[in-house]
Amino acid sequence: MNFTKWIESAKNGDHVAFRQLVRALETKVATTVVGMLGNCPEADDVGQEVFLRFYRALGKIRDPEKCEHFIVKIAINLSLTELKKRKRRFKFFQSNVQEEDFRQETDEIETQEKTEMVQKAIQKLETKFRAVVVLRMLDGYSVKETAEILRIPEGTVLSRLSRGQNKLRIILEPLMGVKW
Amino acid sequence: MKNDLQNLVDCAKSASFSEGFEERVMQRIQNETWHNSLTIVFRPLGIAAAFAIITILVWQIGISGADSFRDLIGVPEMTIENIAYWGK
Repeated sequence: MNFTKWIESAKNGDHVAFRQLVRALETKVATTVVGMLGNCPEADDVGQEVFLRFYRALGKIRDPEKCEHFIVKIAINLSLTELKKRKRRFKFFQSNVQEEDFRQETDEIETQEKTEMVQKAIQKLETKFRAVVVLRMLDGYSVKETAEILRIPEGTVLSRLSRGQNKLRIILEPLMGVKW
Repeated sequence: MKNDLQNLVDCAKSASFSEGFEERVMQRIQNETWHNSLTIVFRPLGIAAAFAIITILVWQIGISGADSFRDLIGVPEMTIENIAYWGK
């Protein structure tokens, strides 16, 4: 994709070029934000805010070909902020709702249901494990890139990934009816 | 075992925002641009107006010949004579 050309044009106020960037990066941002927050209305708002911040920061992008990396960083940071807000507001309410949702989903598993189940299982992880699982397993970033985005050592990424995967298995095993 | 988990997680990779997301983002960008152009025009005007108001205030205080803040706002000093006068 021609990120360099689009970013240069967008910097000069070309909205068509920025629209191309939104189109090209929407799935990446959605995977990160929905992975972190779950499929909820706030995910859409955070997604919009991510692109707005990206637009404001266009002048700061040094390497346009790495803009994907840059926007995922914004997406992770805004998702973490949203999770903090959510934790403060709905701590008690949210934990009850999620428990009930899980109990309902025990029947046959279609692809859509499987996707929702995986998303909900990821939501059950603690924030620090969730961020690593989303970046490594959903976004496909390397350990080094994940460490850079989250500003943590590579060793921490590996240990959090391992613990996150174990927790994910524990959550998913009974729901999917598989044994790992 | 790891691959099985990754395969399972892979199905959540196709996440997307609700319909019309692109339009909503572009609308917010348009608003931002409009707001920026207003700021470019009105910020210097605002600064100039604030500067003018401060200058006029300082000038007014200067020509009023007030010796103290109390004098400026018109509150008399708390002398024995004044207190006695107010008590009448």
